[in-house]
Amino acid sequence: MKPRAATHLEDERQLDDAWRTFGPAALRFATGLVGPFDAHDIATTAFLRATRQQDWTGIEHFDRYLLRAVRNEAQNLYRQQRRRWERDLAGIRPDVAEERSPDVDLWRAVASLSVQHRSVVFLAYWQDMTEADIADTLGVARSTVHRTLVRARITLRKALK
Amino acid sequence: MTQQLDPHLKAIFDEIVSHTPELGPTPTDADDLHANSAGRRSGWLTIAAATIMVAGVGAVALATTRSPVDTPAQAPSVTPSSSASPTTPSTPDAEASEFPEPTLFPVLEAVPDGLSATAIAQSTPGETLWTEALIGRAVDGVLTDTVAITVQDQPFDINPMDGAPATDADVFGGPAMVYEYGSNNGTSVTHVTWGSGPYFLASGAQPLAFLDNATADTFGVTQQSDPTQPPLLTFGQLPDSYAIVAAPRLVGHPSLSASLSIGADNYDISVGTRNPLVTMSLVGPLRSTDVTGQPGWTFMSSLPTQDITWQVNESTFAYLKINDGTSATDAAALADTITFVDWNTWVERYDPAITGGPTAPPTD
Repeated sequence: MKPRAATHLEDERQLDDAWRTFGPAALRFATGLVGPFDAHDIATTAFLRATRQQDWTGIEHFDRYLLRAVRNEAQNLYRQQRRRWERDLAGIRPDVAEERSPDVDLWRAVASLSVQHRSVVFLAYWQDMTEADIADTLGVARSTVHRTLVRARITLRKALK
Repeated sequence: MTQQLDPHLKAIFDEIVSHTPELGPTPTDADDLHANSAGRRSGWLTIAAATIMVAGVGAVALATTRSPVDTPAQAPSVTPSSSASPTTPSTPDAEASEFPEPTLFPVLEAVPDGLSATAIAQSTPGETLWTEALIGRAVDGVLTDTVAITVQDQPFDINPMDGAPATDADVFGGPAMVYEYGSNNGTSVTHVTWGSGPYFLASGAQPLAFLDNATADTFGVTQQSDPTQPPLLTFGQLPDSYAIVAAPRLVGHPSLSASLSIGADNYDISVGTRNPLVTMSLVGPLRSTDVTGQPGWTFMSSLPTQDITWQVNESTFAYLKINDGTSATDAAALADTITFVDWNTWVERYDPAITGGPTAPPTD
């Protein structure tokens, strides 16, 4: 049996290793979902909750597990702060009397996606994941990923017209 | 996704990811985490408006199905207990609700040849409840000088834009905070908060001008007998020429919204319990229109889209958005052809995709 202090040190080393290994991807994903303002909170909270699970080191595909935790935290934050975000968005809407650039509309369209839609779109078009990989990563059915992408495309195409 | 959309989307996500925060030390304790992040956040206040947009608005988070043996822990939610948890999609008659629901749902009989109708219903989880209303000047059918008024029993969480600090002001002899929001093309929205419980928020192009002409008696609140419910907003004497455009409504409760999309991107007809006029007023001047004899509102300025909103019944507001270049006149004519049916008839007709948690059965 290991001394308690040694066990604690080993735990810390495992946490450090996990954070350095999986933290960057979790942070990027969080930034893609909620923007940089809340990304660190999302990623670190997800990491803490994931690593507080008993035997977390035995979780298969911890990278995917952590991304799902990030997605869950983002959904929680979305519920709490939706109103603030709505007001933020309202404040930066382009002048309705002036012609809008496609990118401004596309930004708005990306912002209008739900957390779940944005998760799928981000993994598909920034991470270049296949639908099967996205389904495995987010823990949803492949048909759900496909349907989500179809709906997101409809929304995003509108913005480019 | 089309080749046309793909590079634009990649560029946007590239820009977003370029703002990814630094990794920082290994998180070890939740208390330390929040203390650290508070300091970190202040630095991010300077992030440009575009990145804040990414934080997102829009549809309710879709339901997800998780494996019981591989489910990341959920952070504890601070939303009210009335919030609906994300769950497996269920039909809207899963359980009763004390909150109002839209009771009428849109039907478009004359769908253009070659287009199909797609129906979606979303159960929106509840959040902190608040009361909102819209004040403005309506002259000759044109609505200007609008001020959206919100009251709730919690302080407002508003981020100054572009790192500019909020400024102090005096409202009715008490301290107030003013948040100026610029935009890419010059449109601005100003938020003014005051009160120490209940808390008030006035939003619009020039809310201070309105407040300067108002008095403390202009605003009133009625506390509800249920202490978990927010105060209700009431109005006393308004400044000259101002009128209540959208009466105070309690919003933020779990609710159902539904939409009918015609074609891939031609029309969207949606219904919900929140009055869209409040948010529309923050975008630009509005003019009145008539939808089957009911008063409606649309934007004055020419937009790539045509947007019309009107109230269908006490708990149902409709919003028509036309994306295919239809003229304002034709948009109004189209709005006149929209009819409304009850939930069961609508489901039978359109077989909508239903997302979100359980909600109440819409009833008349």
